[in-house]
Amino acid sequence: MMNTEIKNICKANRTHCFYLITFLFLWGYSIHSQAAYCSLRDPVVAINTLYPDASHHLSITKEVNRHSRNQISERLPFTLLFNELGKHTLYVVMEDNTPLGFIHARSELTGSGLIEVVWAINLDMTIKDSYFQRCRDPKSRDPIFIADMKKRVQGKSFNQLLKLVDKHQNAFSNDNPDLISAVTKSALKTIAVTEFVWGEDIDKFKRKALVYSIFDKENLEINYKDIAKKEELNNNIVFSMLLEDTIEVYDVSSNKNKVGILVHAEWSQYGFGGGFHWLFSPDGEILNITPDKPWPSHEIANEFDKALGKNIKNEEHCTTAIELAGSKLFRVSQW
Amino acid sequence: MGNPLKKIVLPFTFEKKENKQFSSHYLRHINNLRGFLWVFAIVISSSLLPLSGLASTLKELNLSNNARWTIDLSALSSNEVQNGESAEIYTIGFDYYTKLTYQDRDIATIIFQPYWVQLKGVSAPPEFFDDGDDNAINWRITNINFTGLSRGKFNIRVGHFEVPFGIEQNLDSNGTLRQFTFTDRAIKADWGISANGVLPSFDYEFALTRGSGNNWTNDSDPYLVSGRVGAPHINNIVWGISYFYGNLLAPQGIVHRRRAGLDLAYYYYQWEFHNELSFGRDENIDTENAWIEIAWNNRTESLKTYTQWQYRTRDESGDKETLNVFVLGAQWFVSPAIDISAQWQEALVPKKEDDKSIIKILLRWRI
Repeated sequence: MMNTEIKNICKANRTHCFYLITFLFLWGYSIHSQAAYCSLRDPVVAINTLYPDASHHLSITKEVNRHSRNQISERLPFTLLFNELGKHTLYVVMEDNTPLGFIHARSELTGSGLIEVVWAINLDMTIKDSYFQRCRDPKSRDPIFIADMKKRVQGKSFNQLLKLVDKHQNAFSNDNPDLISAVTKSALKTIAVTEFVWGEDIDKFKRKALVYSIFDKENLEINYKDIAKKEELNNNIVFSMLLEDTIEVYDVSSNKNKVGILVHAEWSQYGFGGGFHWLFSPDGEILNITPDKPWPSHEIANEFDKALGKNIKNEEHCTTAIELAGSKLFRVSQW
Repeated sequence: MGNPLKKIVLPFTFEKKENKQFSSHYLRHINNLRGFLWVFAIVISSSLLPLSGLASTLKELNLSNNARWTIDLSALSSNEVQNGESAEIYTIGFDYYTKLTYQDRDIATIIFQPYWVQLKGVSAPPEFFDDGDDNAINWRITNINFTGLSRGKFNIRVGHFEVPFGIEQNLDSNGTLRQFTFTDRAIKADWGISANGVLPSFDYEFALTRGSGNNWTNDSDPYLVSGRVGAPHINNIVWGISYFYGNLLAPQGIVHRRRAGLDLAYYYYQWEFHNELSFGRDENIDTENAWIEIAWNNRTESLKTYTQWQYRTRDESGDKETLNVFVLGAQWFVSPAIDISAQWQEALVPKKEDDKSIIKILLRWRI
């Protein structure tokens, strides 16, 4: 009986039946693209305002999916809304060959509607600056409020920003707490999302920024070097402060001539961990040591600075633990 | 030349055309595609010519890394309240967006939106349909915008794009019931070239286009010059001034049309206020247009409601004709991919015999 009725409906109007079936199919197939793509616009004013020295930028579009959402919820007391999932763009801002930093725009829900904040992120993943691309609260155009808001987040790392919100996701603020909370949450989400989704791209441009800051040359190439004798690492690198599984080696060349060696490795000493890039000359001089995250103190930064310019090709000439670690890494890079 | 635009035509009123010419119908599709291919051949060539070393250039050009695409389906039902006549429009479209990059640099943004449109019982269909039961490809927005020239301050756009005029420039009305003032100028998008850019203190776009709308055609040699300069679209108060001048290809032949316009938008929390004023001439007819919209969004912007009022006059040597229309509408995003819209359009006093009360419902899915 039911089948006959359905057939009759289909005969009566096949077009409507097609749309009904399609509708029911799509209802359960959640997607994430409301407006037509012609409405997409780059945050051009924000990029030019936040990076006045930039010469151009590069867009990198990637999917922020449910997996990203779950991962981010492990770092934050809140996570992304489902309508924040979908394809998003990270802009790498360049000055000629040198990456200056990143731009990412995020929407955030406030008591008075959606706002969109464009974030400028330094290469060490601290907040450089921010820009209200869209905020219908007139407060967002108040210069005093803007200055206060920027002061609150500028230069802050993820962990420092996390201390600005309580477990109920509220920011500690008396002046316009709703908007301040939304902005602080947006900053945290931005760092968490960009690190998780665009992590490889961020690392690539960090490497590029580092080598262009050291070598005064055009057309530098940074090529990954596969270390074939990986298993030997366990026997050779016994130094506990370097996590040997994390070592990556890159050859730096200019016009086919090798000009340096870049090594990235995780470090766990001096009370803080995280990744470091070590840049060596081909003959073993330490040219630069840069942490992925900001230095925790000037004292630690000074300790590492003392190793710069030292030739660590021969382990016996090393006088500090840092130089010895550099020597081990340089040896690995020669395999 | 007679007056081809004596009567103000609203989209989707209910008069049927006859005598469908199948051969001319398909020739028109071919002509349509030819125009598109011509423009894109120039675009691709021009993007490659300035770059030395073709092989290495091609290797580093990237079209796919930033690509987004969607299949866009919609069904629109338009019903006249007084006599129950109805019309339907079904569309299946492909919405593609990508950035063309070279090494570490964005060069251009590419948008490609071919839509297959089937009309059923539509009176006064757009000029690229043979009649109200026809089907055709509608190139919505299909262009390449070279953005790598000057950090977005000076870009060159080639292809099919929205004619830069008035409030349309900054608001998205692609495939939605909610429309603004393009019916006053009788052209929404056109094939051509534009200079456009975004600066800290203003946005601009100036265009030279074919004047033939959806189809590229050389018949009667139409052309259109248009442009708008305004405050940055990201502000909460956005103003703009626009100009529009050309010979447009209409079903009746070439129509000389010119407009000057002023638009203003104001955003306050969840409220939006939009306004456009313009005046000009259609052949020897003086025209005036006033349009106001008040819209409200819920907090998550899954629901938008709006009311519009449009007042137009056409004055031919003291013989004044007036259009006075009120629109009430809503758009509800059931899910991020599905939205349902409804709109009621009613003519206000002085009401004429052929003024109609129309209710439209639109279902849209973006896969």
